[in-house]
Amino acid sequence: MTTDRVTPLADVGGHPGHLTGSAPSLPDGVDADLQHAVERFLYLESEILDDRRFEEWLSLFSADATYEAPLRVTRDRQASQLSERGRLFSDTKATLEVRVRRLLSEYAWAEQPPSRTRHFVSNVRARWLDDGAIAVRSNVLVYRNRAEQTDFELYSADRHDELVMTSGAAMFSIRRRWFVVDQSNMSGDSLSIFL
Amino acid sequence: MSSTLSQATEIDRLLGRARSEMSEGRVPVEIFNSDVVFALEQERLFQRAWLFLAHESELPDPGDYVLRSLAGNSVIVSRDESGRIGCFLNMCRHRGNQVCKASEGNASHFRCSYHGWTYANDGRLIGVPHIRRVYDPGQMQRSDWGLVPVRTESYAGLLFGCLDPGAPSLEEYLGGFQFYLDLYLRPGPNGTEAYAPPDRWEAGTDWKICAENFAGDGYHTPVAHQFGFELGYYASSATTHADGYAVHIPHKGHGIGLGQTPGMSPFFGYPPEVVAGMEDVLSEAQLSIFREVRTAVGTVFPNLSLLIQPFSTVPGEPGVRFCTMRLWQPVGVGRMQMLSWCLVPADASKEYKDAAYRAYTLAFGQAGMFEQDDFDNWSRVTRMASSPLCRDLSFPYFMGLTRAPLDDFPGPGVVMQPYMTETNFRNLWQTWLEYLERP
Repeated sequence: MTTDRVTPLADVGGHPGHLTGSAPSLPDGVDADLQHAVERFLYLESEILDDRRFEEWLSLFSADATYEAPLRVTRDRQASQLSERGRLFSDTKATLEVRVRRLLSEYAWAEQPPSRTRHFVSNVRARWLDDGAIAVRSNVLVYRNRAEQTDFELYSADRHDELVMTSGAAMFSIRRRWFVVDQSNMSGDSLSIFL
Repeated sequence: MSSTLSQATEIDRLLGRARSEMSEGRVPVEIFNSDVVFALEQERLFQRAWLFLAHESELPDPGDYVLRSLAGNSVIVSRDESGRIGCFLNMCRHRGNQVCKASEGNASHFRCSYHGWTYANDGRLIGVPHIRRVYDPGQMQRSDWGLVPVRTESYAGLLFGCLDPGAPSLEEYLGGFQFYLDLYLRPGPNGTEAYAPPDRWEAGTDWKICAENFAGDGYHTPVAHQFGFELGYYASSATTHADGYAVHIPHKGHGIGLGQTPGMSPFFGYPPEVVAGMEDVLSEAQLSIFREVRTAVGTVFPNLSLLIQPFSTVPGEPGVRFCTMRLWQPVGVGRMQMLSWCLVPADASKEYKDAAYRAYTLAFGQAGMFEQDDFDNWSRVTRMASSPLCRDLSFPYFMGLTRAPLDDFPGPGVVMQPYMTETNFRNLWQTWLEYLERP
């Protein structure tokens, strides 16, 4: 289970610069190699989700991971546009596992037949955190279509992840996912997919 | 002219069909997705019934407001500087622009962005730009042009609005259903609070399917939510899930299902402080029923529903009670907007409130596991209901029709056993029809 903990960088190769590439980085930014590795990880995760390999997807999260999505609210511009306490998702790895077990059962009617999703991840910005984890902010666009319907849902989201480097094949694990969907009045009968 | 005539004929045909079928325990499929029914409901039901607006805890401080929809009208629900909550049409009296654009906030006044008419948060018109230059003396009386007020009344923290000045009081409208609403709304001396703003989404579902389901459809649970048994969520098994009572208030439309699990410990899933709170404020008759209830799922006619049930975020862990309240608002033919809140006992600990909300988000709300399955079913019912062959068919609603109600139940209303029955639904449809038949 050591790979599930927040792993200090010293354990996986020392100095943050161990992946030093040629491109300059911002003061707390990451170098080009690490940026590339982070993007590759996010693309891999998208592929796993779109292929509905949900158990594999779960394995990308640390044991203490949280998966959280504040509700957007329409307020005047001076006020925060996010609900302080309202959540679309307020999950831990344990509850994500429950969701996945449900999806893998025969009785997840909202995914029977399954949604066709395509996750598009872009505008990836990564920076080091003090404890050696990497904060990654990205834009996510998810297309979802079901059955013979011609209409579809598009969810646009601002995603903030905290990744921890691991020795596993995926290179990282997600210890925190926090995202906000750019809609306060959501579309779609239900949100039976992951963002 | 002829189209008006044929529309009147069509209304007569539809209501006549509904009347005759409902008297035999059947419901025409066409009412679940029909432009005639939608228009008739807007005019004859939603313009007349008491409709839910807001939970008073959503407006804790003077100046707090939320924007809501009342029978298709955008309305501001606002707490004024003296602490009184009012409800106003969100329309500038000058040219009709919306004066409030945010769904929630705090404001001492609302200023129209078109010509600048300004209203205090109690609805008074307090500012008309250039009033002395553009109007003659005495011509413009600000007191004549305040925001249009909506009649409101509240029960146990729930604020309702009604557009019919001739409608009876909310107390009479609820007609004894308060006895059961107290299970949700009076878990202690300070009642409940909305934990967060409502989840909002739009679904291709007819609102009535949801209102009916929450009037006590214990029948769907073991199948629609079969994963719950599969994952070990339910204290009851599929065979005992029918146990309990179904209660309705005749001709009011309200109904509640009180599901029981044999051997469940009293008040299972409530923390001790909430049990103590309920024992403080509820009557012995209420307590004698509520302590045995596992699931309470009820609808305040026409479109407000509440559910309370124990739930563990991870199967096998001790359950926590959560309460969700939801408003099923029609926004078009076969289309609705959902507002879904989580209510928590105001006197409970922060830990309990947080845990109850987490359970709510996992089970309900747009991403909730139970919610997902419900809406998937309901939207497909709605799609089928508009198709040419289906609309002429009927659904059977005669479950429990020939059974006698209990005569020794400690609570008001018509009470049936078991929990799985359709008597609540027949009462809902009867009430719905009585509204629609009134010209």
